[in-house]
Amino acid sequence: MQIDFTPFLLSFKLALITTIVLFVVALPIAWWLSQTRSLFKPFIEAIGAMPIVLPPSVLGFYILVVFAPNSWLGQMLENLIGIKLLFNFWGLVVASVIYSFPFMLQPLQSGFESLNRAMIEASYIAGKSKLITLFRVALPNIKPSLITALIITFAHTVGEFGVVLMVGGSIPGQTKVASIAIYEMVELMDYKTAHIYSAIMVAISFVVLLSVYIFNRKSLRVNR
Amino acid sequence: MIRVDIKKSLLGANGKFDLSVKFKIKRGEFVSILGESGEGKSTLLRVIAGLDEAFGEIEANGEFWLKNNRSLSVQKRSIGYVPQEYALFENMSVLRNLEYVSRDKILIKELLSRFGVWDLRDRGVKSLSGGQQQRVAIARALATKPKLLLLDEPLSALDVKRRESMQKLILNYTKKMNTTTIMVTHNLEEAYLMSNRVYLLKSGKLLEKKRENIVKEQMFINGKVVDFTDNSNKYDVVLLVNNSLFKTSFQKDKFPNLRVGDIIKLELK
Repeated sequence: MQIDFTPFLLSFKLALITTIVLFVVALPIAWWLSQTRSLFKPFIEAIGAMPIVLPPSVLGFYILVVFAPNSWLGQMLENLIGIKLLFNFWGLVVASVIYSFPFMLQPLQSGFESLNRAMIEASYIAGKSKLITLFRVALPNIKPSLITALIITFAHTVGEFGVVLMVGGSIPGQTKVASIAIYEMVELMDYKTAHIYSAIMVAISFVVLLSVYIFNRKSLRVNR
Repeated sequence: MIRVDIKKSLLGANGKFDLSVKFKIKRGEFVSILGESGEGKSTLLRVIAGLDEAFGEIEANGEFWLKNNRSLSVQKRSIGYVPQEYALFENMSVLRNLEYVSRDKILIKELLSRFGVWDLRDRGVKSLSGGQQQRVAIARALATKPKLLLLDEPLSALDVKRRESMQKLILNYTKKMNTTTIMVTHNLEEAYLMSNRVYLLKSGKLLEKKRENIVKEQMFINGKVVDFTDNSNKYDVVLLVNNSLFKTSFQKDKFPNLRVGDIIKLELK
């Protein structure tokens, strides 16, 4: 039997791009949240955590509304750069970035918050800018949190279903990621393929999570 | 010259109090600040470093670091600071800790060698003992050739012998670099041996003590009553003095209510 791996490749491509984009977007926000005493902090934190609480269908619905071709933003995107975000791969990326945002933000923020503040101050005293301090002192000292943020974001995006279905549909090679492919197999009562796809997902997820825990155990030992 | 005139509200063990401090230090002077825990000594250093906010003015070598609530950023003050918790960069080796703050490889090697930690240069700082970390932290602060050096109990984790040699080394380097130094300490001996001037921080105020005035004419030692037995008109007492136990006896009428745990002041003649 021939197994079509395209949905898996698509899932991983989506997860990889989402993780990279989210790292760039969430890093400065996490750093700012960990350092600030601003009154806006709880508001930003609450907004950042919303995707955990909201049903994926709510997120999917709003993304559909906001990016619809006849919406203000949808029209502007199409006129300016000729992109339609709904029912194509880049729409999935935008949806995934929103959906997985807290999974990148929260580990980074709690990592930064648990950092020894004196270390950051020592870097400032040595005349180093905030940016250099972030990359040379703060990030290297929260490696377990950094790895957790990257891997969990990646894994969470691979595990997406509801948002992807609503925003991307199920276009083969474009938006039909692994989770949707499995759903379709079940709908078509092709249980054999569904089993194979599901087993592959279980195996990959386990290996990914196991590697996070092994890494964190090792880096704890090194630091002891 | 450094001129400090600041006010800050602090929360101490006995409630709120105002830290209200005014002093001037000449370039190259070494000044110690003595005081009990919780009097705001460390906070004062942090305010001077720009790490904590305060009201008032700080002027250093003709430049305002704090004036009209405007504060010069920490990065621009060119100070060395050794906080109580050392604050070494845990992701770096001993050598990298110094190389991160200074490009002067010759000075770095000299400092680490003279402070007795050159052989540990490739070790991660977390694997060092408290005393070793403390020496690395002082070396790192000096590696930037700071105009102002702030030391917060810098030698507390060292044994007596190492302490004495470090006192001399610190003095040597601060003299050579013409660095102004403010050191917070509990240790009278250290304050006496190292400083040009000594201040006492008490109830939020800074009192200048002449260096000679911290030397008292009479010599007292405190002893803690560990055990005693009633022996007709006197007590046979076991006293803890300076981590050693002594046996002595007192006339009963001098201490009518003697109890275990009492602190007794003994005059030495």
